[in-house]
Amino acid sequence: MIMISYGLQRSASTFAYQIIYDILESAGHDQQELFDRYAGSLISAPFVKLEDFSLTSFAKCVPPERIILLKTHSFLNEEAARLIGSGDVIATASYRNPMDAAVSLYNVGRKERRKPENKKRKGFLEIDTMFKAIETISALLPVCEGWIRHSAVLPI
Amino acid sequence: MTNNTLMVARKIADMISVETDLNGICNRYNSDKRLIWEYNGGGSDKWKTQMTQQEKDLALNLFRDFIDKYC
Repeated sequence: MIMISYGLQRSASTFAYQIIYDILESAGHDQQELFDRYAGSLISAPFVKLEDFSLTSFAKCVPPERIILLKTHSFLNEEAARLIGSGDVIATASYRNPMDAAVSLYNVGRKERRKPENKKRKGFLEIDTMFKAIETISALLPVCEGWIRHSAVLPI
Repeated sequence: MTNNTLMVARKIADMISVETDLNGICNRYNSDKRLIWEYNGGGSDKWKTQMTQQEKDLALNLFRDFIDKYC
C-alpha cells in the first residue's frame, strides 16, 4: 500500500513526513528496502509530483500489507482522490494557519538570500516581501483544501 | 515536542494500525524548530507582530474563508 504525506508549504510538512516515516519504520516497514523493491523505474525518490507518474500502476506493485511513504506538495488529482477513496492509498495532509505559513515563507526567503550563492534554495529567493509570501500562500490554499476536504484523508 | 505532536503521531499510528513507542519517536524531534508545528491549522500568532497592518488586511482578506473553515 502507498501512503501519501501531503503538506501545505511551510506547514511542517517535512516534519510530518519524518514522524510518519519513523512510525512506519518502527512497525517493520523498512522504507529503503520497500522503495528499492517496488518503486522500480516509476519514481526516483519518495518526494514526488503526483502528475509525474501513474499512482495506479505504482499502487498495484506494492502488496497491501507493506506501506511505502511518499511526500508531495501536489494537487490532489482525480486518480489519487479515487485511490484514496477506495482505500487503496492512504493519505495525511498537514496544514497550518495560513497567516503563519505566510510569515514562515517570508522568513525563509530572507534567510535564503543571506546564504552563500551555492547554498541558496532558488524557490524561496523571490519571496522578498511579505506581500509576495501572502499571495504565494493564497495561491496554494486551493491545493491544500483539495486534500483536507477529502473525507478519507487524515488532516494533521 | 508539543503535546500536539504526540497527539498527531497517535492519530497517524491509529490510522495505519501500528503500536509503537510514539514518545520515543516524537522526542527525536524535540527542538525549537519543531515547536512551530501546531495541530489542525493552529498557529503561533507570529503574524500579529511580524505583519504590518496593510499586510494583515490583505492576508485576512485572502485567507478569511480558509481560516473560518479549517483553523
